[in-house]
Amino acid sequence: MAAPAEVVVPVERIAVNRKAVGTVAVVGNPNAGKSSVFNRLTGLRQHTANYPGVTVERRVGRGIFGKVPLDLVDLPGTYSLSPTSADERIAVDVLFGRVAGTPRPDAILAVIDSTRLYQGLYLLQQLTELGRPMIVALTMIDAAEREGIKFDLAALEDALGGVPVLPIVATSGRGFAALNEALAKILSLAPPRATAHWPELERAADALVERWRGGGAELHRVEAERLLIDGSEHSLVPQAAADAAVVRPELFGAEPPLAAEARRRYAWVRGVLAQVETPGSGVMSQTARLVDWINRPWPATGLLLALMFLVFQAVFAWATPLVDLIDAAVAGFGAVVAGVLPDGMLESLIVDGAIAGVGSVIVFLPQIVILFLFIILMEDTGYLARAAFLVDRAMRGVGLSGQSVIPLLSSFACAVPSIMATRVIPNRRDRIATILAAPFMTCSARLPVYALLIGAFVPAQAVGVFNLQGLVLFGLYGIGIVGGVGTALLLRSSVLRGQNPTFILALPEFRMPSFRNVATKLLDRARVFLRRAGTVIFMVAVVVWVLTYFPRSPDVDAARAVAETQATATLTGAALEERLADIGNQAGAAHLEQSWLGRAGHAVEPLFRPLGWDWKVSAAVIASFPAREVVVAVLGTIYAVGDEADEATLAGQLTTAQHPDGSPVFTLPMVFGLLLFYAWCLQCAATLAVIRRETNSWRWPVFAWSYMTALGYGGAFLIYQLGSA
Amino acid sequence: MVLGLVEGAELTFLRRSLGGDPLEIRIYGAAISLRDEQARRFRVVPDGRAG
Repeated sequence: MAAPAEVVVPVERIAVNRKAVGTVAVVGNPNAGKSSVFNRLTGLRQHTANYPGVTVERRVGRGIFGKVPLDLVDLPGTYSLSPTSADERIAVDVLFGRVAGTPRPDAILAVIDSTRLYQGLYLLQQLTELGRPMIVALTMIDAAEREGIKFDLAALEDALGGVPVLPIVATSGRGFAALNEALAKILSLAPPRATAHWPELERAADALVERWRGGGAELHRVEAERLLIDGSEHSLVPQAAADAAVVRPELFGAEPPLAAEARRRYAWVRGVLAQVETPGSGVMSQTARLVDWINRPWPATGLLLALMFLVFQAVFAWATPLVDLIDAAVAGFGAVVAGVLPDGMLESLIVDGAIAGVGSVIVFLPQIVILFLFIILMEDTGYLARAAFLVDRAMRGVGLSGQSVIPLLSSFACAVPSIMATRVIPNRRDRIATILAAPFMTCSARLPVYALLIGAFVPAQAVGVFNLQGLVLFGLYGIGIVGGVGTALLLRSSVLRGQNPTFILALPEFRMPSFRNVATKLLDRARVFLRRAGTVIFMVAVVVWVLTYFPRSPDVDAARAVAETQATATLTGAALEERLADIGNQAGAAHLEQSWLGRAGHAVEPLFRPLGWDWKVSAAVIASFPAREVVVAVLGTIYAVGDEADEATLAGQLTTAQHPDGSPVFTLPMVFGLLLFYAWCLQCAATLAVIRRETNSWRWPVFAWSYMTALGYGGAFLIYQLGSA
Repeated sequence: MVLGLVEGAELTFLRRSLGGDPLEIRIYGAAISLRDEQARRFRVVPDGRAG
């Protein structure tokens, strides 16, 4: 399939779409309402995938304008053609037709926020130079009107070299009739006239294009200009970087090329702005004054705390009935299936493996969907940037950036959506540090483990106005935060050292999110969760089942049969029921002991003995590496109280558990060590899968797992050894 | 720079964030956030107008 390197095949030849007559790139600044426009133009005729090799989402949709079917590609938001992040690089690469599988766009639909025309014009001027037919959709025109801003659209069209400009409101659909009409004719539009004048750069770029044509590379003048200014590596032209480096000093002198470009373009932008825009009176409306007040540091802090409280309330309280409902439904369904199927391996595989596996995935959905909903709402209202602005100073103090705050807070519910939410962090080092700090936060899957151990071993006595059990739980949250912050600090001062030279954050105005947009994004992310995390969690559930089920010993079943016959002969009624259940649980424990998991527990026991663990705890911990909450069920089986046992019964068993020499297993130092182990270990296959996906390499998940396991082991070791000494 | 903090641009200082950093400034109607250390690299001349 792959063409030899020296043959340049135009991408549009390979990937042309037979049905659509052309491809239109939807380009714009971040937060300009691009996705709302895209969604409204394509409706549900769209699909999402990833660009090859990166975690940037590729959204393509079909729109029919008049009778003209067009493919629309929703590009990641960018402020310029000089990419500063993976997202922006994709946007630029698609525009130049450098992305395999995505044809070079035939035309451009630029989506520009009318209240931020200053930055919009900069991108617009660069886009006009691409030599493609173009239309500008000027969004949020209602917000501009409220501020009293007026536009001379004819003058703007003229300044952009004859590009049609259409004022719209993406949330209400205002102006879309005209936009649809314009899009129907977009392919026959003439490319924009030249608007910039930089003869030295143009000459240098033309000379480079001429030279490289000899080598077989067909480049646009604009591409050569980008090479001169951005110095981006371009695989089509091997000597490009060297050639550009020769020309650059005489072209720009000592001034950084990007600064020279920005200085020139923004001079043009200011000129155009003065011509086409009449600013508002500056008199603030009631709403504007309220927004201004809420943006002040202290009210904003109050708002952030209130919002976070609301999120946690929703994730933990509102989701609980749904979670319980799903739990009960899964258990009920399992019981029905178990009743229908004959006892044996198939029944166990389907009920304990498959159904329980699927159940353990969908039981997370309510919390995850609620969490995603809040994150998306914060993104779409523009609040995310505000929160980042507010806490940037504090977060930088711990080696992160303001944009880390929402992902990190989300990971108190679940690290998976939180790690997916780190995409808003443009700086790679900040993003990786945030991803590695997130799994330390006390997620909801840790709570059953904490509840069991604290309930069993920490006395419920009062300490002042507090309860000791509550204090220990609070301390565990604190230990998680300490672990995460310490990790971020450590990373930022070692492998992820370095400052972000240009951290400048656009602060969008608050706005109403569009329902359609929020719903589309929510469905999208829930699907990604089910596909990525769900398949992993399910497979893990089946693997754990295999490890606990095989090999099967006939001796255990024979002993069980004997005991049952004996019981039936001597007991009746409730006493018999109880005895039979007990025998069943004993048999379950015996099966587990000689299963692969039980053997593994015995095998690794020496490794965990310095932590005070016996083979049972070791086996349960091993089983919980793919999903930490599994430990409660495994302990239930191992201690022969059944995997559905209530906490009190299991807790009672734990307090009396003994080492072979008769000493208690669950001493206080051992319990605190175990708690610390669960606080710091990365026992979650779904999180690992998501880290793999988001960092696009195995390096970080492997590092995170090894590092956190070592940390958990070390901590548990120290506590046990010091506490028992 | 691509956000328009260039020679000749007019800006309005709005506020400082919690702890005095970063700054929020408005540049031709668009609010942006700028960390203190970066703000120091710019030379800003007051234009005398209140606001």
